[in-house]
Amino acid sequence: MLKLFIQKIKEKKEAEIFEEKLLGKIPASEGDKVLIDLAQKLSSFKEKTPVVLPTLNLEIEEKTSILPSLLKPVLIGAFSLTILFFLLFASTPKFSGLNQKAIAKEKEMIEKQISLPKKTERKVEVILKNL
Amino acid sequence: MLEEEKLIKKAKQGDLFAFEEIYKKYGPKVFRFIYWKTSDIEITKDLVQEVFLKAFKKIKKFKINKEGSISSWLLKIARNTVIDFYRTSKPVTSLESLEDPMIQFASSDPSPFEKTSQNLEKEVLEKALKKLPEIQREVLILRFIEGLSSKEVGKILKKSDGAIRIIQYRALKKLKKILEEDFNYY
Repeated sequence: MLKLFIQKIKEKKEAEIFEEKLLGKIPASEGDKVLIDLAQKLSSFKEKTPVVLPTLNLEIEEKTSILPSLLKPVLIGAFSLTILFFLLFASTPKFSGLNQKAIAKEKEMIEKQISLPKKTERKVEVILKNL
Repeated sequence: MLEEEKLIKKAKQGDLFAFEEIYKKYGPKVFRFIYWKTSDIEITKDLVQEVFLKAFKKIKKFKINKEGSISSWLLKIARNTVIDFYRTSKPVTSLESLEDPMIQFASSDPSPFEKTSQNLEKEVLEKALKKLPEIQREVLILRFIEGLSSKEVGKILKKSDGAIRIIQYRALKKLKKILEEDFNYY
């Protein structure tokens, strides 16, 4: 562990010294000269690398931004419509279980009220005929 | 620097001409960086376009104190774009182009005999560079090809400048070793 730590510190120092050699502040050894030469060769690649810049097309940005901007209100609309329909269905007696029971009771009551005894039914018929 | 700040300010306000100026100024830097990572000119073109679209979207949030210079900010976006590209897409480069990244440019040369020793040296160095670990290659590209300071490179790669110096030193030593062992260069 300690060995690794010492090695890291050593490497850090070496890297810092090399940086100074690279900048020409300290004279470089033969071994470092090869590394500096490599670094300089890499620097010369900047001019040698071909650059073919495409024409900047920022319209793509506008086109692509249309979709999310449209999508947002559409999604919000669809969501609120779903909630509205759900509420409507829930409040409709046909679809709510609780109301169905109440309706059945109410129907029963009405039927009871409407239905007359058979005798009175006949009497009513006679009266109606005589009329 | 003042000119750059003015440009950024205008671009932040949505000035397209200012943004185009930024593109003209820093586009080649971004292009070279991506090209050195992809070795494919067409992919590079697409990715450069993508980088600047992202930059255009994000420029309002750009803070010079936080991000450093605009070039390191753009290179940071470029780096992430390349990472995303390789994460999401299947490899599309041909074996030929993997073998020699400059093949398409070499083929446009008037004659192979006109290749100078400098070009051959460049090809060897390119191949050797490809054999380095990703982080070491990135440091060498940014530090020497793009000429950024170790502090700027550190901002792009999210490392301290001390760490960048160590990686750079290791990378140069390894590059030398590769050139010696694989290419009998030294």
